Amino acid sequence: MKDITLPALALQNLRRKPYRTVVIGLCVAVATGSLFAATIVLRGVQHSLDVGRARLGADLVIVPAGYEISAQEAFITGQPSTFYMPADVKTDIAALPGVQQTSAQVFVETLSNASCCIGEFFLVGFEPDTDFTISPWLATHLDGKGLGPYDIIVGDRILLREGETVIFYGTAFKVVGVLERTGMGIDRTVYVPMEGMRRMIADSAELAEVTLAVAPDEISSLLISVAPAADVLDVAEMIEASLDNARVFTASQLNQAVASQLQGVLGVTFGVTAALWLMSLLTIGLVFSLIVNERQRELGILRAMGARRQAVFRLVMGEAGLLTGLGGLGGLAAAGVLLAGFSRLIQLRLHIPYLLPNWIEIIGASLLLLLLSLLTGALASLPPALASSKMEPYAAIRKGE
Amino acid sequence: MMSRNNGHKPDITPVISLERVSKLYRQGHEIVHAVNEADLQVFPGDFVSITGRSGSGKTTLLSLIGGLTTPTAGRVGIFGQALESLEDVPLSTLRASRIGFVFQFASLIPTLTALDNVRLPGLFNSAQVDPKDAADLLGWVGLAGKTNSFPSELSGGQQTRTALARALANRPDLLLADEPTGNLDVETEHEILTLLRDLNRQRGMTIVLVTHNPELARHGTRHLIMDNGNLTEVHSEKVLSLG
Amino acid sequence: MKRISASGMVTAVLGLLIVLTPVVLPVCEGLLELASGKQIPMRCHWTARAEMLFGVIIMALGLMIAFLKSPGERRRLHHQAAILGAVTILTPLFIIPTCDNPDMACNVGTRPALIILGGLVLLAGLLGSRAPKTPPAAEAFA
Ligand SMILES: Nc1ncnc2c1ncn2[C@@H]1O[C@H](COP(=O)(O)OP(=O)(O)OP(=O)(O)O)[C@@H](O)[C@H]1O
Ligand SMILES: [Mg+2]
Repeated sequence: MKDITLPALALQNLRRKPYRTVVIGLCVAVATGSLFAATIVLRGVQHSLDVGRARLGADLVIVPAGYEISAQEAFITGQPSTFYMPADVKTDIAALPGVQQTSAQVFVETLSNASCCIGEFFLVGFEPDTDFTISPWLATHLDGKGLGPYDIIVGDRILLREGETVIFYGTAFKVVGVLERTGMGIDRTVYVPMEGMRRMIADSAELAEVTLAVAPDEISSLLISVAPAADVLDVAEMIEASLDNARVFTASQLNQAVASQLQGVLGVTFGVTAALWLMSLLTIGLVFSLIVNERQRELGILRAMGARRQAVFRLVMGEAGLLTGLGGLGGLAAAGVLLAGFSRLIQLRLHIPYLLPNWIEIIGASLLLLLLSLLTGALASLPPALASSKMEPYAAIRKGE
Repeated sequence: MMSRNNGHKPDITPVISLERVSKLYRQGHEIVHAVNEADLQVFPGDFVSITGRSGSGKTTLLSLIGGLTTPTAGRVGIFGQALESLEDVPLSTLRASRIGFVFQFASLIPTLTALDNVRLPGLFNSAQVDPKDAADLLGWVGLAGKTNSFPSELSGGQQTRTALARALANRPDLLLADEPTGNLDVETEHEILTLLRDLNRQRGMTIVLVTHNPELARHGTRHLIMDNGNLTEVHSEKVLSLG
Repeated sequence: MKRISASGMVTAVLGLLIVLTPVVLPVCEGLLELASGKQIPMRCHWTARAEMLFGVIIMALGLMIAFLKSPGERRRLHHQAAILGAVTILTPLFIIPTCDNPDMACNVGTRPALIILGGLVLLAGLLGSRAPKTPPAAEAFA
């Protein structure tokens, strides 16, 4: 037979009013769950941006003026976007002091494909000789084999495997590598060597239904790595001054669009959550003073049986803590399941990059929020718990009559 | 046994000692003397019956004795200790280990079964109440078949008997019982009183029993009457010879 | 056992949600063109159809559980609901898999929703089918 304990007694009390228990528990669950989800999404985006920026490898990116937003979307969320500028920017920039290396890219969007399982792809032409975005990766993964003009590397979200052949605009390409997931646009990008890209563009007039209108001397963006000794912002300023029809971004500025978009969404979420929290706090406080009031006699009887003031205090606090703790746990579990199931949906709808934060962060956030929900219960029930433990037993017993 | 309460020997520490104890309540402009300058010494092994009309202050008196409320004036001593000097912890320990309360009204915890209600005092004592002991106690008050019933599934009398079993769970030295037979038929009432008398005689348990029924008062070794807050002892040969 | 069973009501509501899932989170809308030129809906279209059917059955089971009196009967229906919950999970995964591209509507919305709801049905069925608490009297003789 189980021992009778204060927690068991508190649990029985919660069971006694299932409706009330469920409603308050839900309140706490929603508050905890949404805070957890918002935190994980925020951390997930930051994590993804960090990984993506490291992968990009460039300190500065130049894109044609007027396409700043499209460029941000292209780099961060992999939203296919096409824009072009004359390639001669490259020669001007390469000569500037502090610029270590430049590498051009050409963006092409695949035709929307009606077939079930292949969507739109974002094709990026890169220069294998100067590239520092995926070339370091290539160096370690291709075992020194050279990259042919029709050898492509695809992101993790493109459902092509190594060795497979795919046709874009009538030109056949062979997949020679699949990149690891970043949660960013790179995952949905197909990297095509510049030579193959130029040939595909040229041949599209003949081989494809649609002719690609990209001149051979046009590029979409220019990636720049800055010399270690030089200051990135100084170099950026210098480049900015020398450009007419193009804009330069630092890698962190690229994240700006995403960041500001997120701020809106998360700001609302955190605001609503805070309001919800405050409401839960007040509700729990109110409900527990009611509970304690209606159980005054019971608590008095416990005192008569030898319960110390402290035991009564712990009983009331324990009941509140148990309720908010269970509510918090439920909210975390629900948020975890929903996040795991719908993270991709959220990501696509909000146009945000997202990569699951590491487990230490997730566990840390869970524990912190659980603690917060327990504290909510403790804080809300503190006044009634104190009052009921201070009450004279006989008065308490009479009050409940 | 009889000799103890007859003698009122000064060298024996009284279980209860009241010295000019008063409890006043303010009801609007009026002041109610619920208990008025009561003097009482109860010794180990005493079985004290208190009768009196409704509202005469019997429940208030029991609460004062158990330290559930503080007197407006006077001194309450319990097991040789002045109540006013006792902090919450020692007082609670005293209640948990040496005093059993039976309240006039339903006092079971509704979320616990009869058996668990009887086991409950163990929670506040150093030792849990053995479920077998608790079941025995329930059997003793005639509720052997009701161990797993919830208070809501028990009749008023059964609830009172469960409360009595609970009051006895910690084997108290002092039992304070407020109308424990209030809801009972004559036969059951008699059984319970026999039980109390056995506890008193065989285990030397000190009992203070409040009752409306003067007949019952005869079961005790001493009889006190409460009248409008005034406590007086009835010294009658009849009481002694019957006890 | 006179009361309406809570797990029955929960099951019924979950069934309704399963029926509504393809409405709230639609599967891919485009049509496939076969070599013959015939237009046919994508595979996930049939996933949704099947799941809506399961949803209706789960809803019916839930209502029956909720209003039936016999504990044995209730338990059997709970088991059936649990099995259907498992089927609801397995359908978009293996039985009638959704499209291959993980970024398509059926995979980012419909499928996870169905899996979660199916899991809840399974859970409700399993928890509900456990023997109801024996009344105190019966327990004493057990
Ligand atoms: N908390 C209180 N506030 C005001 N008056 C009180 C309070 N408690 C008791 N009284 C008054 O004190 C008097 C004695 O009450 P008590 O409950 O002790 O009577 P009793 O003898 O136990 O009556 P009964 O036999 O009906 O139980 C009553 O007049 C009652 O109105
Ligand atoms: Mg009374």
